[in-house]
Amino acid sequence: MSNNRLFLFFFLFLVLSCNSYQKPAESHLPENLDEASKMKYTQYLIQGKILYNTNCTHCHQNSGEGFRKLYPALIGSATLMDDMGPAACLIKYGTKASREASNQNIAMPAQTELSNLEIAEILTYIGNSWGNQNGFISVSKVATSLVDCATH
Amino acid sequence: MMRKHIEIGCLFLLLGACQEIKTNFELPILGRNEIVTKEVNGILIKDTISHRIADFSFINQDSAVITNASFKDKIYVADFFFINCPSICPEMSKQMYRVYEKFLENENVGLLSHTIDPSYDTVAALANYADLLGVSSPKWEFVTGDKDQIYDIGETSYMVVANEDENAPGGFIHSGAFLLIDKKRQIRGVYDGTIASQVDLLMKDINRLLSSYEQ
Repeated sequence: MSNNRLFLFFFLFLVLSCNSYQKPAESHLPENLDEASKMKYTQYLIQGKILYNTNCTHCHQNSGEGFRKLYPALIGSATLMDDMGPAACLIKYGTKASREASNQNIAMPAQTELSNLEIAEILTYIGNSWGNQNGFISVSKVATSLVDCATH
Repeated sequence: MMRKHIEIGCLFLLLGACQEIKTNFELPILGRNEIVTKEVNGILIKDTISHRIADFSFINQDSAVITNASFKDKIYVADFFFINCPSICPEMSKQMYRVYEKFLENENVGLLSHTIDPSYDTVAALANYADLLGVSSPKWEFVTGDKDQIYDIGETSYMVVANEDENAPGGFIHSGAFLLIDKKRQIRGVYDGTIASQVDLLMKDINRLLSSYEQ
C-alpha cells in the first residue's frame, strides 16, 4: 500500500516536472500554433538558450544587449531581423578581421563545429527573445543560407 | 552571572577586533623577494630587494611611448589581452571598463592593457579598439611592442601566463588576471578579471591603496 502511494507521488512529481518544461522566460512564442509546432518551437528555444549561453554571451552578453561599440546588440537590430540568413553565415564562418584601420571591426570568430540544427536553435532563440519576434528559423533555412554564403 | 557578562564582553571584543582588522589592514606586497649580497665598508652584507615591475618601454594606441615614468606617482591596474580573443577578453574588457568608469576622474589611477598578439594588434588596431570601447589615453593605455618583451614582462614582472598556444582559443593562452601596482612598482593585489565580484574587490583595494598615500 505504502509502496503504491510512493509510486503515485513519484508519478505526480514526473507529471509536474513535465509541466515545468517551458520556454525560457525571456522568449516569445507566437499564438495559434498547433501542439506539435509549439513543442518543436519550445525545444528550439530551450536548446538555443543553452547554446547561446555557451557560444555567444562572452561578447553579445546575456540578454543580447552587446557591449559598447565593440560587440553589436542583438536586440531590435533591423538588419538582423530583416533576414536571419546572413547571421547563420556569421555564426558558422565568422568575419575576417581586416587590417585596415578605417571601419575596422572586431572579428567574429568562426564556429564551424556548430551543426545546422544548432545554428537554427540559436537563431530561433535570438529571434524570439528579449522583445525580438522573428518567428521560427528552420534547419532548411539555415542550410540554404549556408550554401549561399559558401558560394560568395 | 558575572562570568556570563565577561564572556559576552569578550565575544563583542573579538567581533570588534575582527572589524578593526578588516577596515585597517594594509595590502600585502606580493612577489618573490630577491636576496643580494653586497659589500658595505669592506663587510659583506645581505640585503632584501622586494619584487617590483621591471623597466619597460611600449607604444600606446596614440603612438606615444609608454614607460614606467608614464605611471609615476600613480597606481595602476595591468592586464594582458588581445583584440580577436574569443574567450575571456570580452569579459575582461567589460570588467576593466567598470574600473575605468569608476576612477575616470581620479588622475592617480591608470590602466595598462598589454596586447599579447602584437603582430595583429598594431597601434592602428589598438586605437580602433579603444575608440569602439569609447576610452582614451592617458587613463587607459593599450600598449603593443616587441613580442618577447611583452611575454617576458608578463611572466617575470607581473607573474602571469601569456604565451602563444595553437591549441588555445584564438591561438594564445593567457591569464585573465588584473594586477594592482603601487607607486613603487610593487604588486599589491591579483584579481580575476572575468569575475565581477573580484573586480568589486579590486575597486575597494584601489581606494584602500590610494588612502594609504594620504596619511
